[in-house]
Amino acid sequence: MMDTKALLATVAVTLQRMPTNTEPVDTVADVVIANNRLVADAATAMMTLETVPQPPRPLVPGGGK
Amino acid sequence: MSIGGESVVEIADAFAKGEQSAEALTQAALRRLETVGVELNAVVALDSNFALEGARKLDQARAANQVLGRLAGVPMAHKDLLYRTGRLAECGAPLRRGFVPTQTATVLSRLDSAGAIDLGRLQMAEFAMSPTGFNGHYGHPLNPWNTAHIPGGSSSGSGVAVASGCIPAALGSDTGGSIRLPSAMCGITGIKATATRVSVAGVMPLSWTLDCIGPLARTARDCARLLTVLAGADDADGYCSTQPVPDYEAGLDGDLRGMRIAHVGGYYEATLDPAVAERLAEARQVFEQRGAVFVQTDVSNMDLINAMSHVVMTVEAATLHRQWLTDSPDQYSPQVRGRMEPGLYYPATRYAEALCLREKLARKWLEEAMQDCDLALLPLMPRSVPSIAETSEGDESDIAAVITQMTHCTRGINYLGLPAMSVPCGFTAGLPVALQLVGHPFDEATLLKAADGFQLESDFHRQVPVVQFGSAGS
Repeated sequence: MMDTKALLATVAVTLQRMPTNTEPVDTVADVVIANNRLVADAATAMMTLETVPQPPRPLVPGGGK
Repeated sequence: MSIGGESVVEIADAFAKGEQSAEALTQAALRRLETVGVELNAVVALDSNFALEGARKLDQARAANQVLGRLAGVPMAHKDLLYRTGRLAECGAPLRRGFVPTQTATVLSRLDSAGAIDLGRLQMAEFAMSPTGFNGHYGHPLNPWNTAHIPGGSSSGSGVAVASGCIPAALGSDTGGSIRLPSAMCGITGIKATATRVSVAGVMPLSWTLDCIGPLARTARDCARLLTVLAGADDADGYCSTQPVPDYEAGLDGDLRGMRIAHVGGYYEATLDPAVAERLAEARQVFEQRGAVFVQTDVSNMDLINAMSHVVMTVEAATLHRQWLTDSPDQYSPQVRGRMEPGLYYPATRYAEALCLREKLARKWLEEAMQDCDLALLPLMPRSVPSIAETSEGDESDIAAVITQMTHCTRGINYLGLPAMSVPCGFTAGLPVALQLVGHPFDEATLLKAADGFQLESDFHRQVPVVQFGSAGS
């Protein structure tokens, strides 16, 4: 099974059209993996079926047009 | 009057009263930028002919008793990512060398209309992507308080030029602290308004959701006058808010009686340097002497907010830079390429989730940190101003830790979209310390009023360093 770092590199090469020598260094991979998990877990907890299908919201409370 | 620490308001008033000509003010500022500004590596290029031509027109307008703008006669220069038609805008990057825009940034047009004089382009971190101010291609702008220390970034040239008394104000941009950090480290006043409050049309973006344009200046009153000119709806920027813009300066009455200020602990004070903590405690006493009341609060979710901020900033930056990163990776300094790179690897769903949760997390932060307060007072940076060596020499992980610590109190505020100010509140080891005021969305007026009230009781913001080149001491 492909490890996470190799998977990230594959994503970059195939989907982002980066040069084939693209591979995240360990520190970048670590940050991405950690933040990915934090955001995903928060979205699971905070984006309920009731709130997700709403129309686009202003960027900040009271903001935008 | 010469240029050398005077405020925007003082210079504009002197010009309006006929005490100084715009041409003399412009020449004085140009001379100081050409000498002190260049020595401190704050200047990219000056446009003397353009500036002097504008100044002479202002002198003629005054002589003809024409109505003058609120910034008439005020010499300024700006971060080199603001476009002006026909003039280079190189964004601190070899990749943009020779780029001549065909549009003028809305903020520059508004300053022109108000009578400010544009002297030229100031140094910045490459593509606005460094809180230290270091530019891997063009070197370190130097902190005028001690040239062995960093000035903060990414609006490094703006901070250095104002602090050293070359000009009374400059524009910068702030995506994770890039107006507030150089303001803090150079001992001047800066404001990042609410997201969408100021147009970003005609500005090289770093992260379009987080970028804010704003002034670095001597005083809170200067910031109020400048923000009144800069803010407001703009057809060229579809996201720019249409909310009315008050006259911020008119609201500065110095009366802080009954103002409720949240003293936010927890995350913001967990790693606070004792000397910085002492300056902040002294500052709170000043606010209390003027009648403000402090309420102790705390916040949660900061790791999550920082993660959201990282996802949004790096994904948007990587999106803007992907083609250049692919075609010309060697044109980037390794530090900047490394900071953008994570954005290539986050799934699109993480980015969308980070945007979807922005408003919800902002409301939660406001509930916890502000409670029923009018504004919050936080540290601007939890430590003293780092030396150049601390941010560029030695172990990579140590350097990364210092850089992360620098934005500890600033980067989350951009994700939350809230207005924030940097206000000088003292010194430690001869280098400036600042406090940060954070407000409710679109309530820049309260921040400016609080900062102005504080500055009526303190003179940290009025001090101009005696620059000692090549010295580790100030």
